[in-house]
Amino acid sequence: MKISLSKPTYAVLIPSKGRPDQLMKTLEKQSFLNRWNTFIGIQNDQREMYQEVMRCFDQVTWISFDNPTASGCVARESLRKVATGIGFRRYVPTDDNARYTEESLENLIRASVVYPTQPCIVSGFHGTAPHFDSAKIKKAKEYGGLHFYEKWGAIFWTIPHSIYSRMSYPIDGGRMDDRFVSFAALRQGCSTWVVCMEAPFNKPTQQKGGYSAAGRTRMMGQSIVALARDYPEFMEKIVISFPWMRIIAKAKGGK
Amino acid sequence: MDKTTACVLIPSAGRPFILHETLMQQPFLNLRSTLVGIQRDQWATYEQVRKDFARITYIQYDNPGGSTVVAREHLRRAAVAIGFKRYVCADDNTYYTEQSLHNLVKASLSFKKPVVVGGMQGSMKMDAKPSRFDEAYVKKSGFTKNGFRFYRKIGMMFWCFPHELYSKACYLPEIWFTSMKAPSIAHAGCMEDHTIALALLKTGFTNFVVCMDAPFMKKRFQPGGSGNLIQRATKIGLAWMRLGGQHPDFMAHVRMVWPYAKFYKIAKQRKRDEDIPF
Repeated sequence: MKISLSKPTYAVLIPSKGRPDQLMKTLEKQSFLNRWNTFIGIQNDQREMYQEVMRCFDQVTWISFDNPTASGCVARESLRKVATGIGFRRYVPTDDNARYTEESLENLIRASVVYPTQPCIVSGFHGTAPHFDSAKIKKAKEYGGLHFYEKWGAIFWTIPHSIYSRMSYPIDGGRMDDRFVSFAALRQGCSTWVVCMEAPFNKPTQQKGGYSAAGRTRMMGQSIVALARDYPEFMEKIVISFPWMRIIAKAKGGK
Repeated sequence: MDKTTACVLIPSAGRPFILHETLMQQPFLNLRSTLVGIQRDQWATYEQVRKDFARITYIQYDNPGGSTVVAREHLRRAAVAIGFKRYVCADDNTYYTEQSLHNLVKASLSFKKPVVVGGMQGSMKMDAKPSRFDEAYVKKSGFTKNGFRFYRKIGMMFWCFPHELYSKACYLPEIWFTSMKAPSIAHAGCMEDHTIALALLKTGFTNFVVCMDAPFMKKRFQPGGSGNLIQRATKIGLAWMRLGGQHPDFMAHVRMVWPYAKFYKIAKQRKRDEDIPF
């Protein structure tokens, strides 16, 4: 099956906060993102900080919004609203420090179209996946020249319009924005989640700035409360894991 | 053992019938040194329990959010004010024998330095073996002291604290109790055992052990207590927010497990239900 990607049928959605240098680096390395169907969300109070990036990558559609609580959900919702309002077939929510090639991005979109079960949510193939997903990779199946295995994934993923336009991130949702999409999709009956091995990506962890760093545990608690309110049928199944040995080691080290 | 040496602290909410059953099965708890905590707005629903187990010391408190942390803090304050050498924290649906309770306290008293001693979960039999998961802890850190067998691990739900620790470590900071009104306390959520463990760890205390000669059992997901499963999830979120503020360094290590296979099952079942023609 051949799918034309000459006209953008998808949008890439990237929120960024407190790290214009990081975003600059990402856009320099991934210059193919400098086009109108890339939507980058910046908080109004940080526009000045991002001026240089905005100037250098002026083909990008820059979205600004108020976000006094520095919530990842507010940032994602601002981007989602604008992009679904324009109307694309697919949306790729990703991060300002996620690394992928143009080919990988196009494969991700193609994968979302060729996968036989629709609607489906397709994630990219994380750099650590060959190790952690080795058992699932053995069971991978090929469709349209791409290889898939069943697994939930986020960070660099594609969501069809039918799902993304019918959900919203709550303003009090904290930082677990990916879970709100997941549960919304599941509630809409979409339980097909696959990883496409031809859409590799990487993401450095523990970088400064960004939404995931902003009051991490407080925001996670806020997310749990909002998720329990909005998606009780799923949240009743969650389990919390306290790695006590590591916490004790931390306590000993902190004496 | 001197009856004033140790006390047993049990909060209960929304399930007098379960507490009644527990006390029927464990009549040795019908003592003044057993402190049972009941919310003021549920005092009447526990009347039969209070009548049938009249020797127990019942503590009343306001707890508008049904927070287990608030309940535990009220009980802790009441017990510490009386003053015991050891405090055994248990739940209203925790099952153990009198021998197991005695062993737990004696095991704790056998240490000169302060140690938090947990019971061993899984069985009420005195010759119970550790769970498969805990076998590794026994191999790595098992030891015997004064005839009791221990391994190093934080054991919750049925555990014993020495006065020098329990009188200092709080479930909620003083300021929550003295200067904040009920709505703030109502947002304390649950995870009270984790709260006290983290509070102790923050002081640098790390001496937690499990005594293999103090076995116990606990039923899960019973009605009442922290509420239904949704209320429970909400309270976990509230607790996470609170603990995130109090112990950001420790909480950074904590992870949530998202069982997607179960989620898919729910979604597929929902779809099947919707597809059934009327």
